[in-house]
Amino acid sequence: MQKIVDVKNIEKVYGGADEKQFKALSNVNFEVQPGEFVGIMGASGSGKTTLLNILSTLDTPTNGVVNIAGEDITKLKNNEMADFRANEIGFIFQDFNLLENLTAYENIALPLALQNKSVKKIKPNVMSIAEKLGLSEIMNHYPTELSGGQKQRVAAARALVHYPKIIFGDEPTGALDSKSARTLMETMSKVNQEDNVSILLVTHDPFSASFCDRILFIKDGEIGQELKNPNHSRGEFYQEILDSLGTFAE
Amino acid sequence: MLNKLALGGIKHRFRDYSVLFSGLMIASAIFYMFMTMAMNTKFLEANSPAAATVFIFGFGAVLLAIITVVYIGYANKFLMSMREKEYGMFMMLGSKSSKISKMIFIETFAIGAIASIIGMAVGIVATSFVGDALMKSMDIPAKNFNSFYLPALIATMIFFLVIFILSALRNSISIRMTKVLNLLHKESQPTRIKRNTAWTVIQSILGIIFLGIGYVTMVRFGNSPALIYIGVPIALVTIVLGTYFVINSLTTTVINFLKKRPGVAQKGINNFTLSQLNFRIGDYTKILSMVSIMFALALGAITVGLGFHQQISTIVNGQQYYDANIVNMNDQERDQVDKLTGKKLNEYTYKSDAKNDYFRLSDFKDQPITYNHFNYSSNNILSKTKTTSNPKNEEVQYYLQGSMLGKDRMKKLQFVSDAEYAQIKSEPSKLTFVKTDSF
Repeated sequence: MQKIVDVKNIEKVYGGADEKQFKALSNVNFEVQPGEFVGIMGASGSGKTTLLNILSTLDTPTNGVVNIAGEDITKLKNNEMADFRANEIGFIFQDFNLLENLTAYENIALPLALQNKSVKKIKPNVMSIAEKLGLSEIMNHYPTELSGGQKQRVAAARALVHYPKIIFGDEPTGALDSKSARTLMETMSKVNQEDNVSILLVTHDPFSASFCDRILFIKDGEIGQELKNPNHSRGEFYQEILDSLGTFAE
Repeated sequence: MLNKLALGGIKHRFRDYSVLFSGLMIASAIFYMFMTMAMNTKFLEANSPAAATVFIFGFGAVLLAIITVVYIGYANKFLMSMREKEYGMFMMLGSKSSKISKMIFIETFAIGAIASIIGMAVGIVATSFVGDALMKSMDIPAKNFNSFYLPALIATMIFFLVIFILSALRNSISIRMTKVLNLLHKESQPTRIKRNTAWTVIQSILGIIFLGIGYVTMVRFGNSPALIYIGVPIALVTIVLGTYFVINSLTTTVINFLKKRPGVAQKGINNFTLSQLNFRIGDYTKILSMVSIMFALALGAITVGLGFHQQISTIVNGQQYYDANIVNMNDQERDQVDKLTGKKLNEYTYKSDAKNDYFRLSDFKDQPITYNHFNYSSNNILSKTKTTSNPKNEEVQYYLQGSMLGKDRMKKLQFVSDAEYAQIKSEPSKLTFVKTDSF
């Protein structure tokens, strides 16, 4: 089966020719299979956000190849890039990034509306994803009227509404309380299993990470350890992650 | 949906927008008001004795246009900075950059159109008020002056349309050139300060030189009707540039100088304030130069306005010193003259024969006559007043002749002694000149 993410030898160097250079990523290689739920963990400054930005087309690597859903995203032109973002990937931010002047419904519909999809096509998509994420009751609310957890689920619905092949999450539970975080992660898990959407998220929270099938630990711009959870028992996996973090930090 | 997204942003941020919005509105109102005057050459020519007025108004318009362009550019950049994150997100969600450009155009145009239409309406109303007040204070009927002046309206519309097209273009190019990632995290990005000491020094020197040239030409050339046509453009360019350079460089230099003095910098929160000011001065420079140029323009406008007002007496005294000339004043006329306040009367008697009008020299000795001396070699149509007890000068004679009855006007004037005057056999007439302090 075709890999969803295929990263080969990527390297990211910050700083121009006359500035102090800083290597944020070096020699990063990994793959994500369709339907896989992968977490990337690491301390602040380890390069995990840089890696996610590159994978999600927001940034470009200095060297290396990034294939997402069979497309080499480092070679996409302006409009191809826009189409790629609109069709293949979804993105969840830590601070939600919802539009304050649109209702939950309109926020979720935004990616489709930006593609000039007809209202007839948009509505069933939005309604079905909203139901799956338990948002049907709040479709006419504005973001200011929603709790943090609800906002993040609206953001997740917006990332899912166009049936992307993969969803990228940048600390999606970072701004949530533990109960909302659990609800969100359970929802993500459900979507991942039921719809076979791949998920790749960056987090430093072991609890959120325990929902993943596989975790990559990144340190000083390089991928070190890898942790797999083949038997899907979350409690045990959580302990394993904590142990790994302990040893990995040394 | 596209419209809603573009315009929804405005509605939502109305409070942030309203300050800039009213600024834009006032800009277009002022522009329109100025244009009604500047473009209405008939009005200017009919009501101002100085030939350069039309020309000066033209340059005023250019200056105002520069200020407006800078202000609108600044305002639009600010509006855009509030929307950058949103546009970044649209791109993240797969919006094509052409669509983003479209949204920017819709947004910029909506703001521009509403602001300039309201502004022009305000301008029309304000012009009628200001116009009325001006006419009342000048006590003259306004010839060719109308608060609604179509050419000015069209000029304002075209001007604002062009500016808004350009700024929408600039905004959309700048959004396209910026990476999505940078748009999304614009708020948390550090501002990089570029410092080039040599350039700063050059700028402050150039600034002072430019300002010097500008004001010297204004003072030197301003009074000369011939040179004013070179002086005003020179001053316009050098003062605008000079102001910008001085504020841009001199302020940083002064702040840095102050920061190096421990006595000043380490007192209270001075160091913090100075550093903050130094850090922000780049943003403030344009707005500060604009404010100072605006002050200059306002001062200029007030000066022109006061000039108009002052010209009443200049015109009145410039053409004829005396306010009334009466031949053989009758009782009715005397009653009226008696009612005048602060009056000064000069009375000259004369006798006429077939060819000559005879005046007594002693009359002029007792009551020296004031006349207007015109210097025809200069373009100045206003004259200097001179007082003399010797009436044999051409300008005095001309004035006397002009004041006499038609039948005596073409005769030759003779100034004679009292003895000679007594021998002339003819009925004497009396010429009375009245000067009041409140024409």
